[in-house]
Parts: sequence; structure tokens; C-alpha cells
Amino acid sequence: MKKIIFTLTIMLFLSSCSPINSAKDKISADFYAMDTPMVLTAYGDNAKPAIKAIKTEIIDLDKKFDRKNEDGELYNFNINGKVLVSDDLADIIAKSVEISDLTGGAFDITVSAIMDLWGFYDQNYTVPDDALIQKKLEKTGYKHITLDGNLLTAISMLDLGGIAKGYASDRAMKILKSYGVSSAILSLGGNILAYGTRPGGGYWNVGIEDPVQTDKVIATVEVSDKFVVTSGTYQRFFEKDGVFYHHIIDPKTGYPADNGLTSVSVIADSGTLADGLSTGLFVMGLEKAKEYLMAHPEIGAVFIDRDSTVYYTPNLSGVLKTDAKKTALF
Amino acid sequence: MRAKIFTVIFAAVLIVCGAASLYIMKHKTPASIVLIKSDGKVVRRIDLKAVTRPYEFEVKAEYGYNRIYIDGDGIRITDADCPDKICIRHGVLKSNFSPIVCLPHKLTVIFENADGNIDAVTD
Repeated sequence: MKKIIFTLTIMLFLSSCSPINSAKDKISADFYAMDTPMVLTAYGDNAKPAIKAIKTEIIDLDKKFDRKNEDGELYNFNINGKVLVSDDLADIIAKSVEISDLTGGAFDITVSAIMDLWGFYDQNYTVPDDALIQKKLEKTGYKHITLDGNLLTAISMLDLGGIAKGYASDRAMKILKSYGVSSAILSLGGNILAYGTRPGGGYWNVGIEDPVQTDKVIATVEVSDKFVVTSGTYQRFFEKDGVFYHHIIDPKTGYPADNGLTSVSVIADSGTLADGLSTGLFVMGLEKAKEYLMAHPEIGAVFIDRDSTVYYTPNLSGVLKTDAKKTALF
Repeated sequence: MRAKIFTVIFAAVLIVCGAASLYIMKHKTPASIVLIKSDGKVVRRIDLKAVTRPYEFEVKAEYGYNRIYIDGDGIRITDADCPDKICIRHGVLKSNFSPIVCLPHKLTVIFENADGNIDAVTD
């Protein structure tokens, strides 16, 4: 009888305690920054000051990195082309150039001039004249960026929209660590930081949005202390004369990357890298991305093509769940 | 004898409580509470189940307005003075995987409770 009572007591404890405790200890903040909604949730001791510090940090970085903010550093740089910048701006530019090198230029923060032509920033969508694209291409390319200490020089405008949220999520992780938080899930406009474990223990379950039915997820990955970032054609697009144009521009051609992919998700230990790579691997396409990923086994990636087939790196085989047709990438 | 009766009663209470909490956890009512947030702050909380007849209202902020319509099909944005109108094209709110977002107006329409056991969605 004692054994039964003990077992039942444990059952009762397990079945009732974690949801109540997690709800009680949960601290959330949601706000808009970096042109997107941010939802920050942390649990347990120090969750409140940690979330407050992360929010302050994101807003501060947003001010520096927003190319439309007239009081911001990047805005000032884009007007002058040669400016002594803060450590934060120098650091993110340096990391962006590193990722450009890693991806053979598939990720490139100078592509903003081309994005402007297509109207992807102001939603004034248009298919630009090819001659105009070629002319702009002459003045873009990350190789034109030079960083001498904190002295930044470039011949083209820079836009950090493809990497700033990832960079901010790396900062968020540092803050969570410094406050001793053990459980947090942050969404910086869909860039996810799954930190520590779920409040009841175990891995975080992160869904990957279905590119076709965007109110559903096509797959989930179980992760802990990872950044999960997606680039998809469905995020910004328009149709003209029956042709679909999306916002992921190939920096080499100046046109939307047309390789049959609809989304690429990257799972990595760095938010900056995951953010840059999700765009870079998308532009590279499945075959070139496969070569990159075979040489970097620490990176996880999920590719979805127009047929909704899910391709994944073998390191995700135990944690990826999907009802869609799936194939290991190698 | 008294100890035995106490033990049996205690065991019975545990069984009932355990079964009840398991039932509640597994039979959570589907999300029906919708939050309308302006710049991260909740400005309206609506129980869709309590809606007996269609109605609409406007959420005004310094950035502009969004007209929100609620009927038996759910909740959606029918008009707004934002430049892109993405919030209107979103249609009815179906799940938290895809909340209605009006970026220019910093407005979000979202279910109060998250869906299932998914903690976050990358998009």
C-alpha cells in the first residue's frame, strides 16, 4: 500500500506541478523593434531583470543598426560612406563580411540598393529594368567594405536587416547567462533563441512555418541552447503578370534567387551566423548548400522546396519531426 | 484499523486529484481568447465564444488606425490606413503560428494561449 501511495503521490506531483509553476514564474515582454514583433519569455529567478535588460539592449542596437533612423549610426554612415563607427556597428559589419566570405558572397549586406529597386523596403513593388539592376550591381558587393579598426568605408549603402536580429539574439543569450536564467524562449521576429530547457525540463520544441499554409508548421525541431532562424520566399513577395517575385535577392544577379526552394532554416550555436546563413544557404541553393554543410557538421539546416519536401542535415535526424515527405541531405 | 482507513481515503483522494489534473491538462479548451496588442500593450481582450452578433471597432494609435471585425468565423482586420495592407490580406486569425501583424501600426492580433506543445515558431 505504501508503494502505491508513493507512486500516486509522485504521479499527482508530476501531473499538476509543472504547468502551474511555469505559469507563475513566467515573465514575458512583447514589443516592436527592428521592424518586427519581438516576444521574449523567461522563467524562474532573475527572469524579470534579464528580460528588461534584453529589451533595452535590443532597442539600443535597433537604433544603431536601423538604416532609416536619422539619429542612428548606420543612417549616418549611408549618407557619408566613411565614418568612425561604434564597437557594436564595427563588430556586426565584421561578422557580416565573415559570413559573406563563408558563403561565397551569397549573403551580402550591400544588396540593399538592389532591394530598393524592387521596392521590397517601401512595399512599392516593381520589376526593375535590367539595365538598372546591372548598373546597381557595379556598385554593390561586400568586397567594397573596408573596416580599419572602427573606420568603416564602403561605396554602397549597407543594410543589416538580414543579420541584426541574429546579432541581437546573441546579445540576449549573453544577458540570460549573466543573470543566471536557466529557461527562456525568445522570438526576435521569428528568429528563435531556445535557451536552456523548458520550465518542466526537456528540449524546446520549435516549429518551422509551412511556406504554403503559413498558419501551420511543416516540421518541428527539439533543441536546447540553439538559435533557429528561417528565410522564406513567403515573408515578402509580390506577383506581376503571373510571375512570383520574392525578397531573397541573389547578390550576384540582382534577381530573386530562383532555385526551387521556398524556405531554409538554420540551427546553430550563434544567432548571427544562423541569421546570415539562412539567407546565404537559400541563395546558394540545395547543392552548394549541401557542400557547405558537409564541411560544417556543427550546423543544422532544414530546406523546403516547392513540392513541400523537407531536406535536412543528418545531425537533425533524431530531433526533426514532420509529416511531410522528408529526405536526409547527405 | 484507523490507520488503514486513513490510508485508503488518502489513496482515493490522490487518485481523484491525479485523474482530475490529468484530465484538465489533456482536455484544455481550444484557444478562444484573443488579445489585441498595440505596441506590445493589450488594448482589448475578446472571448470569441462570447460573441453573439458581428461587430467591429477601430484601434487607433499614433501610427494610424485598424478596423477590426468579429463574427462567427472569427476575427480579422477589414480596413487600415497602413501602406501595405498585409494585415487585411491576412484574413481570419486561425492560429498563433500566424498572428495578424500590422507592422507599420505595431498592432498584433493573437490568441492568448499558445498552440499545443510547440514553444515557438520560426518564420
